[in-house]
Amino acid sequence: MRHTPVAALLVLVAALPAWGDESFDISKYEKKAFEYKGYLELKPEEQFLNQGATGYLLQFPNDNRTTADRWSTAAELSGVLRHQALSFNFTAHGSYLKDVNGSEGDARFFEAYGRWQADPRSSIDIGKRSLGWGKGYAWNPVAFLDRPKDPVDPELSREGFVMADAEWTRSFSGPLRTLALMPVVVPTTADLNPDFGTAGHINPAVKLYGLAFDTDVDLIYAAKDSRPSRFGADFSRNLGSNLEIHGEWAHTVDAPRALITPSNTLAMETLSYTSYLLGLRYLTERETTFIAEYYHNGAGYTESEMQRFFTLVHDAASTPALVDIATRAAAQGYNSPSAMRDYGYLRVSQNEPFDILYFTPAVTLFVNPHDHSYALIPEAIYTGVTNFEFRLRFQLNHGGAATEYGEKAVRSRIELRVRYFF
Amino acid sequence: MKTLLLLLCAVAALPAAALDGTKILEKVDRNLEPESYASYRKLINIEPDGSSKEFVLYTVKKGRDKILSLFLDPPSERDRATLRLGDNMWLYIPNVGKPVRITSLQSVTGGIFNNADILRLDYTAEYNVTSASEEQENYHLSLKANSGSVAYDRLEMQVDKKTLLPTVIECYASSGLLIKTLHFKDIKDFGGGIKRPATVETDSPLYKGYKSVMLYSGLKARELPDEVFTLGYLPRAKELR
Repeated sequence: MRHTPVAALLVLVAALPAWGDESFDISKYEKKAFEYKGYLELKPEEQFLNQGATGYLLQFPNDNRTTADRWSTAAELSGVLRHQALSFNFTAHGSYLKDVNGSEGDARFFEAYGRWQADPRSSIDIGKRSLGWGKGYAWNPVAFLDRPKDPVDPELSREGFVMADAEWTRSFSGPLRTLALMPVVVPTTADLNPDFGTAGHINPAVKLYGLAFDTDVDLIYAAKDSRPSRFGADFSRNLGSNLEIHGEWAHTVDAPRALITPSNTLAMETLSYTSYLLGLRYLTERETTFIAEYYHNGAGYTESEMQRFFTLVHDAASTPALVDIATRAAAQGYNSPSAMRDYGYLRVSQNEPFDILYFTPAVTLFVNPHDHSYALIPEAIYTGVTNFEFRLRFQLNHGGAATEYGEKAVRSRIELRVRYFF
Repeated sequence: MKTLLLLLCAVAALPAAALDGTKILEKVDRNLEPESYASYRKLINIEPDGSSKEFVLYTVKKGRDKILSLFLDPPSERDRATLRLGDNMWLYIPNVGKPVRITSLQSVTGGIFNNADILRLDYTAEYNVTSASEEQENYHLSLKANSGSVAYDRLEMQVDKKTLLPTVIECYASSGLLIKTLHFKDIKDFGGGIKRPATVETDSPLYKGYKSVMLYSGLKARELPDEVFTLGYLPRAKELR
């Protein structure tokens, strides 16, 4: 009996996972003709509304509610079917939303394209693709051929446009390590890419990428067709083992912009403008990550232009004749995310605090420096359960009257997002 | 007589003086992997309560400073790809659709292994040998990072004399703080003349009670064009296997 603890210890040691002797079966991971992956998502959400705010008047006209709950579910399936140098790639996305206004479902291909990869140096793609140009986390002024990113959820997959593109890449030794050229066309007809712009154009664009002196640089040009002529550049560089900087610059020539006139009509003005973004990512020794960005939206509305919109919407609440123009102004730019001129962004996340693996608390701040309104978004992400991701997020929109975040329909909201991956 | 005695002493001292740490480190690099190779790796993060999370990666390396890893498991990480060209590192997340620069001290998997461990280049590409000494069964090499962008400022490496393979590596920050210790175990013949530890375990005083393990499988020499190791190829990295 005296030896029992020792024997128990030996049994325990023997029972410990024998990592040192383990190998794993790689046949399960070898390339197959068809591969797929995806996730299922459930997202309940409770919104606390800001009665009297511009956003509230637009979203809940003739209503008196103070809260609104919302349930959404989503499913995404991505896959690739291969035959020699050819492949067909797709991402299908379906969603169902139920809120105070009713329910709606949607299903579509975010991406569906064929690829011919002659060799690792060159490829041709035809079909619906999302390109994801730019270096910024929250905004991408040089993403000329992408749908706008949601700055609050920048990692969500987005629907692409139907296009044809090719990519040639060459590597070198010396300060210039990589050079890649990517021409793209985005044709528009009445049925093809109707939301890209006017029909009957091919919309050519080109991107030249280089890795030179340890810096990523893209030069991008998109010709005037369905959309105005645009050109820009971006860069990204690591300044150390824990510091990265990035930036984007874009110039648009003669773009139309909806503008509310002093006499409360909606005019289309033409302007050329420059947008840019500067950002950094810094990791401390304690594994706290800071991402900071400053974004100047050259086509954004000034404080006085936006105040005219807020006044119009409030006036429309008592003057039905103004409802149509207020609704159109909202749809044509005034109510879009990041509709104003300048923004600051800061995200602070702590990797695995208190030795809790796979747990990442974070807080994100959006600031409008002109009207001093802001959105504060604390969240916690846990990925410790195999194939599951849990995200609990709170959002507080704060600002005075006639400020961007002060006029949002939602004063605060809390949501839980659960994803199961397969 | 005095001169002869001095000469004898000098000859006796020769083997110690001739110990070339850089040569030993070069041998360690080549004994661990061919300069250009492909391999499967399983990363296991083990928590103090015994629960674990696993990641499977397919990795290809070319030359001294090009390495690419593709995540094959778990499903939430599948098709993510990381690329390292010297001091430059990127992470490609399919949903985001574009490569994002990352830094060597971050960890794309969580746990004790960081990006520099997962995308490890040759030791001789990142470190200079500052001293080498001989112990009973091991050589002891002290290594110093050759630039500020290397993840660990200093390494203390024990190298088995017979196999010229590392057994233990201690990783230190510039402040002198011990960040982690790597233990190389389970020498296995992978074929093609590659015989190396199939298991690397790590523990860290910063993560008391936690352990991370890296298991190697399917390691073999493989030559790929330089263009595979570019940002444009990351979305296509899943075609590499």
